[in-house]
Amino acid sequence: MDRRGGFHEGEEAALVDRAAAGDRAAFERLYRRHVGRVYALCLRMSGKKDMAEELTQEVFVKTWEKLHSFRGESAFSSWLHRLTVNVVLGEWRTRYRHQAAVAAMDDASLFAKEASKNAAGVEMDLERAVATLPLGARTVFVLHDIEGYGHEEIGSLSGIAPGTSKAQLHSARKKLREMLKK
Amino acid sequence: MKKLAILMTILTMIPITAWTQQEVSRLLDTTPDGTVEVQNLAGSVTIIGWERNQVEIQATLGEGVEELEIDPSEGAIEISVKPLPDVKMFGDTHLTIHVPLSSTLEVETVAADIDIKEVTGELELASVSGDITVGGSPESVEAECVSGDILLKGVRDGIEAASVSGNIILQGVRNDVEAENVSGKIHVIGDNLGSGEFEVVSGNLLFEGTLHPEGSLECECFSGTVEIRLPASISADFDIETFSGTIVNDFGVEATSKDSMVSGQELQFSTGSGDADISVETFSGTIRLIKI
Amino acid sequence: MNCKDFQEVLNDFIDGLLSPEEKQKVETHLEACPVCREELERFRSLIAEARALPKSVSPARDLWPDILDRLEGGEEEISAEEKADSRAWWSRYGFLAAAAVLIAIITVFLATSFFMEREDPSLQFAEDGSIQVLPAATAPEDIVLAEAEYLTASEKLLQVLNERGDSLSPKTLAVVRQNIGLIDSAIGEIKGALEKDPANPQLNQLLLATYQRQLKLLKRATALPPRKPGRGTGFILRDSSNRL
Repeated sequence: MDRRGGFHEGEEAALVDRAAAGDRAAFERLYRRHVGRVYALCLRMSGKKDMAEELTQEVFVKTWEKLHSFRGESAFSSWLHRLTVNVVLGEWRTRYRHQAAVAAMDDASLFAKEASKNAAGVEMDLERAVATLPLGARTVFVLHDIEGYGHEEIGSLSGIAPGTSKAQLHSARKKLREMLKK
Repeated sequence: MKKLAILMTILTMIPITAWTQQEVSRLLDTTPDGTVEVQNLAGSVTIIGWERNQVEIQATLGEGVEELEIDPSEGAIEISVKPLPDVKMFGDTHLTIHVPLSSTLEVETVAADIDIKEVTGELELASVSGDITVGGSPESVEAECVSGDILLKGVRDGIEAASVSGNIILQGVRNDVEAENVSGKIHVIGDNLGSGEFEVVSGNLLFEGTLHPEGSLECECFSGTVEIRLPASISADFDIETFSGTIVNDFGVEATSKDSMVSGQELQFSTGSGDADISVETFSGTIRLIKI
Repeated sequence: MNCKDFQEVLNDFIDGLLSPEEKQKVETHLEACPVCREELERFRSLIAEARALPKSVSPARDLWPDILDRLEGGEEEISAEEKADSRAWWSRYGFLAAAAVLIAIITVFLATSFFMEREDPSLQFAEDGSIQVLPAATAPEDIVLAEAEYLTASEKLLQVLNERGDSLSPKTLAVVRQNIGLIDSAIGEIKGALEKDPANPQLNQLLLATYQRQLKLLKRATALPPRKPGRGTGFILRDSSNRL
């Protein structure tokens, strides 16, 4: 969690309260504070820049709408993070629901198609490799290995059963290791 | 002499329970369509409508009860069982109350059974483990319990019944009937049913009887069995669906398997002129449409 | 332990999920096997690199103006359809004020959340080019978020239920718990079916409806009158039915 000078929990709570009451200026300050984190998550989970921008906007619009339901039991950033994951997963399902290829989140052929694009020998860095993972594996890898969530939490965030989450993680790691020759 | 002495000693050593059963009897004047609110813990609450503008209360208080609080106010009478402080054991308190016919009743008990007869006002009845029984023609009934049974005999309209593990039995229902249950069953006998909505999770649901030509019957069950028994002359549109269960149909048309990734069946057909609407949906429960 | 076994437990070893005995077996093998040692190092560096990725990335442009635009237009007044039960079925028993407040909060929250009927169904383009109209409440983002919210609400209610343990008779408590478990397993079954067919609107709708059922049951259970009004201790000695 970003802690800049002068920021402490009480102050953020006050900001959240004001924003929840309709104070757009307070909301903008929350946006400035958290957009980096939200965007990073959207970018990594979606693998596409323009989609990440759209998703980030969607997240903050939804945050504005749902702010009144934030009860303060967890840190605001955790709540926001969870909302971000939900928005990204939901949006993905909406857009690609009609595409049979993505119905099975782990379609191996999809992965193979992406991987073959890199056959020309362009060196893969980790971020690019993650972006080519299929959605399910990518989601879990981002949440577990990059963001540090546990499988139980991933389950409650994404609706993926903890057993499945673990399997997806192992699959993601295996694929990444193959791609990065690690 | 010695024997007597011993006897006397023994007698003085045994504490003789001085508790005697309290009887209460009160008669109060009231308005013809006022509200009567009753609370009890264990035992029973029996309320009978009569033609007098009076409320008569007869009660036998159980062990552990300090008194029966009777609190009349503007248009309402509150009757509640007040327990002794720091008492750990309660006996049965039986309340028999006569109320004006068109009274509105609000009854709440923990384990006491509730029995209402001949009251025509609105009834709100709730118990945790007591049974709820209603006869007569109240304007509406809302009955709720956890493990008790709900039995409505001849109540026709405006029914909302909810239980968790008890049984809900509705006899002779007609309009605006809703019932829900979790593991208990729902058994409905419809008499020219206008509208009925029934939902059970794992208990079974049985509907039998007749529907009004413009009637609608909606049944939803998760894993329990749904049985719909209708006369051969029924004229209705049927919309039957189960996600992974099976459909058995007496009315001639066989269910088709759903065109989806999982097993399941659906069935849409009409009999007669397709007047009434019948829809049944389950997740895994069996659906049976039976001709009677 | 051989190299093949090592491969199988490699992930769990890195995540610290192995028992002390298993861990020992791995370490013993590693001492003797340079190939596996090297693989472990490379794997570890991959994970370390992942962990070290910047958690915050600034977007290429400032998104605030666009967000602000979307806030200005179309902010719906969400009003609670369900108020805290004012008929106060059980309030006469003066049950825990905390529980009552909690229930009121959750009631309002349920009403303003995804369980409300939305007026605009979502349109989806199907594979064959036709347009499908989905029932309002099954838009997928609703499901995912609703689930997280459902978990929070049900956890809170279960907590309240646990805290009031002995103010309900053991039998009633058992009935309540059993039926909560029943609905839980129904939810499990639906989710199992959804894994194979995630886009199925009927299943999604059923899932939401079943969440509602569960929350309703939990609410009722937390609001039941205590056996001993005002104190929540004591039990009922005799019951005219054998249900207690």
